[in-house]
Amino acid sequence: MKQIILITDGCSNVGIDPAAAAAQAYEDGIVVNVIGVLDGGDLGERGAAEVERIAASGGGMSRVVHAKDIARTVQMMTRQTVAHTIRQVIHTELSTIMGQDTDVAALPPGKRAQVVEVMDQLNEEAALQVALLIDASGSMRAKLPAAKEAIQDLMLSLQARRGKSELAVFHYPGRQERSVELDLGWSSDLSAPDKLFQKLNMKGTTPTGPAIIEVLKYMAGPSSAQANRDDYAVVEPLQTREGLFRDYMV
Amino acid sequence: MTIWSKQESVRSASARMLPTGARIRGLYNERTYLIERLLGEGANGCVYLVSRGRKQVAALKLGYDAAGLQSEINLLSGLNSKDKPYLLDADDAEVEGIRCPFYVMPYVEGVRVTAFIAKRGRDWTYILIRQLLARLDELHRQGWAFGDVKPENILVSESGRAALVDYGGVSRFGDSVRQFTELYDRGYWHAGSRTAEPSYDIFAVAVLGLRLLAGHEQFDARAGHIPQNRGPEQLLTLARQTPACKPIAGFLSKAIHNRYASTGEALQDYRQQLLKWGGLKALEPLHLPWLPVAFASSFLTFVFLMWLVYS
Repeated sequence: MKQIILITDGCSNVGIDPAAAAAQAYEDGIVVNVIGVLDGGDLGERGAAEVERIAASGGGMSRVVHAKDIARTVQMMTRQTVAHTIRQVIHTELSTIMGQDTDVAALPPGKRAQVVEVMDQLNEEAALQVALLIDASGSMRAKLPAAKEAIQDLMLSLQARRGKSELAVFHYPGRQERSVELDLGWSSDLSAPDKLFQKLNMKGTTPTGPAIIEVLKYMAGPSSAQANRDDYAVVEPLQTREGLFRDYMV
Repeated sequence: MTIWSKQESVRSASARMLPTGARIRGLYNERTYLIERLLGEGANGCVYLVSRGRKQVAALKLGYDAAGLQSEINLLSGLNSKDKPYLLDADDAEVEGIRCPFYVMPYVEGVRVTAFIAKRGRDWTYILIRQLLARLDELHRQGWAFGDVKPENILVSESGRAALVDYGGVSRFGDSVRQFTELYDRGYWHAGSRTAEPSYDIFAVAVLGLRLLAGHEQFDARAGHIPQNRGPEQLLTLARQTPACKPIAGFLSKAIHNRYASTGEALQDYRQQLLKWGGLKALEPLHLPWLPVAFASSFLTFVFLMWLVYS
């Protein structure tokens, strides 16, 4: 399962429309969630609309919050996205088996109990990759400490999962002509949180769309797990047990 | 539009409150429940006080989302035992033309722990913490952590018995904690992982105890929003500065440092500390503002009677 969480104030001004980039992510099976960060008063009409549009195209959810609520929101989005992705997979599988549009709710209680047990297990054990993309331009710069805290907090929750869980962190704009900067490659451990957001570009563009595209390229590449076959062992028993979802596991 | 829109429409459809006197009839088990009143609204459903037949009351949770509710049902039915039922019924009902899942559990009568202490006195905190540890020990023996220990999930009966309610955070040992509240979460305090294990709940009980004894204003002033100032040492400093924490200082320190291997051990240790300290009588003198008034009025009545008799 792969998802991107974008944290921005929603005023991109360079490159491809970020909603179009998010639509591309969605086609790749990557859900894009967006957190709009308030600066004192409100996000402004344009910012709020952009946040909403990106999430709609990315098949994800959007929330507009104060900086202090970023950590909580990141947690909630990650969990809900995992739960909904699993639910959709189950829905598709059930509909294939039953030959018509069948939701968990349509099953009789006994069967429902069994299916939900599998869903809960997948929630806990399915491999998960979350890429956090943080807008570090202009007024967002003051929000970076809150973003850093949210990253540490999410890492802690991911570490508690049974399944392989990895986090990558990016910020944009990058230095020189690059649209994005990688702060942390796929990792299950945040050893040096202070190293995040060190290479800030002080120039003013906000290339949200191009940054999403760069993150997609990175996500298409190898995960850290592929370098280490032992890491797969965590997921393997589940795959053999639940043959249905084999194709779906990353 | 998005994958979320479906769930939200279902939610708004069944979020309409059911009035007193409405009936809910299970489609599979065919039991009928009469709604008495709304008890509360949670993240994934409304809980009603219901009756079935004569005088049999229970709590019924009507859900928005079949998968979410079923997850709770699975858990409660796993906890069910002969001496202590957790789940009484689980079924679907048709509410205003929409099929909604529901389940029925024993009704726990009581008030929120904070309200109980405000009414009956701070002395109760010590015994309520002990009860809480005992309730958690029962759950832990079956391999589950409660997860979301917080005042909202602890009800205390008129006779002073604490019960845990809302099992939405209950997680299998070794899994990640499903649901937690920042203030009582050891991850938030940089004091350990979010893995479901006995020490996770014990930590939350210690923080809850500290918050009850220090007072929430004091506590919340400390629970700073700056992550660098948030740590187990901050909690222990507050405990040292709070005279009311003294009797259980040893427990607080061990719990906050995750030093208890099991809840049984924590409970024993806690009990012994309470005994050693000599029980509740060592606390500050009883605060009875009505006593001098009663004394003065009875004295005046006496003087008045004497005057009546002798004049």
